[in-house]
Amino acid sequence: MTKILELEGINVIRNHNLILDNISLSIDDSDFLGLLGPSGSGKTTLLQVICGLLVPDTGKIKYPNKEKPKIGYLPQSIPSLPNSPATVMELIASGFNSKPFTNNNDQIVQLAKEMAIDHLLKTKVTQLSGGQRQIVFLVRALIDNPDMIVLDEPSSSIDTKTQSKIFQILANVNDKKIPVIFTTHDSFAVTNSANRIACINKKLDYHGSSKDFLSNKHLAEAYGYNVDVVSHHGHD
Amino acid sequence: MIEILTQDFMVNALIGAVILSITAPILGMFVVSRRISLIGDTLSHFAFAGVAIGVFTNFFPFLTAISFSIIASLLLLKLMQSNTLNSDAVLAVFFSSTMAIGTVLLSLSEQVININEILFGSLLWITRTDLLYQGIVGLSIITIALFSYNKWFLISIDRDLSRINNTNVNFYDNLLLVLTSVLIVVSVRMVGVLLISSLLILPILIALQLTNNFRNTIFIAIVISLFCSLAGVTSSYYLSTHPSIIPPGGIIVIILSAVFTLVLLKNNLKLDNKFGSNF
Repeated sequence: MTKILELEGINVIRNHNLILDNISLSIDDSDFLGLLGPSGSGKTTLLQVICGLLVPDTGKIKYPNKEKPKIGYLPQSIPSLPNSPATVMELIASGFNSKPFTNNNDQIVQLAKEMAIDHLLKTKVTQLSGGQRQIVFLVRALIDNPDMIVLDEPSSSIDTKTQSKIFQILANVNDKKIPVIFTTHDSFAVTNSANRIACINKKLDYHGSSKDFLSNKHLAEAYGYNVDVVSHHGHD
Repeated sequence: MIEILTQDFMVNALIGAVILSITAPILGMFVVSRRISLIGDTLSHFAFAGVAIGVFTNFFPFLTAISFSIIASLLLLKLMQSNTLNSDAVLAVFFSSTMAIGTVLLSLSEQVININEILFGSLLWITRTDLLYQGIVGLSIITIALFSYNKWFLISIDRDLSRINNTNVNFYDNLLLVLTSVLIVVSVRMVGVLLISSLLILPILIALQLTNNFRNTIFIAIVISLFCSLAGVTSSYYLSTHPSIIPPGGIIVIILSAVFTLVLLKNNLKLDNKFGSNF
């Protein structure tokens, strides 16, 4: 296991409100980490800190490999680009951090084939459905061989089939020792996909394996009210 | 056509039209895709106030216009990015206040100024020096756009994605606005402050109806802009009868608007036929 990132005592204050309270968390290359918590719990703020979009008021972000990892990011609200004629090909190409005039088309076509979206490459992004856009933006996040994948609510507002496709893609990525971090409200998605779970409610309430997570106590912490775990056909 | 080419001022106007037609759509594409199309109008009002400052103080209006436009556009962007006011409210305030500054200063000035020429442009105004400025600005825009294309494209998709890709979003936003301001100032003599923003926006809106990708939209917009601008300048020469001179900017924008309407109608008819055949 190689450490990619370490957060130490992260505090974020906005408009005199404490949004994140003393969060310490480390991320390894094998992590498929689900950040679970109710609305307003600070999940997205924590992702912004991890991505370097937000500087915490106090606390440290350490990169054991000295360099900030290259991050592939999937935002919560996928842009629909209403005034842009950009094609899927052009959108995915924007994921490269390469110099201008570099032609990476072969790499895009290859990844698009692997993700079964090669038939969409010449389509305008505005003509895609919500689920297709989510997958296209995920491919964009993966195209430049990132060191870490960060996704904000990847399972919101899409059907279960697309959800399952996205998590399958992410599982394959994680098998290649690329850590995946995602936020969700959905305890089913998190326990099914993630190998580690962090429950956030301003503070870090739970941090451990997904197997140990399914208990009344931890679920109550995650959702802010009592939740019963019911055994069904031998499964929890 | 040959008669036009024997007149020095017409040759200047045609060269100016070519430079503007190539450069305006390049910046216009990123302005439209960022959904800040109205910014061109506000920036052209900065140019108006800047020219008025120069006329009032009797100090090179070109220099005052460039300086004022750059400073005001940087301030405008700073206010648009802050959360204190909505972007449209900031644009509205700058739009009207700079127009007011320009009007008051021009009326206080002791110099006799033909305000119509500043507002709508004139063929007779364009000199070789103007063309030199336009050429330098045009070449700078093309070179900078080639190297900033990927960054501007990514910012037009999403600002957070750009930041994660190590893009200095503020720098590229400022660069786009400053280049647009400078282009507007050097083109004011030909098109005028009230019509210049149409040359940024209309060719792109027409090209958007005709193309299926981002890069081609810019090329098609340049071709459309070249055709309409040359046609506009030529028409302005032949339609003007002494002593009345028809400003070329007006005719160029009328031609662009007509082409836009035709293309839009054609596309809507196509859509109607497509859906009509399904019922």
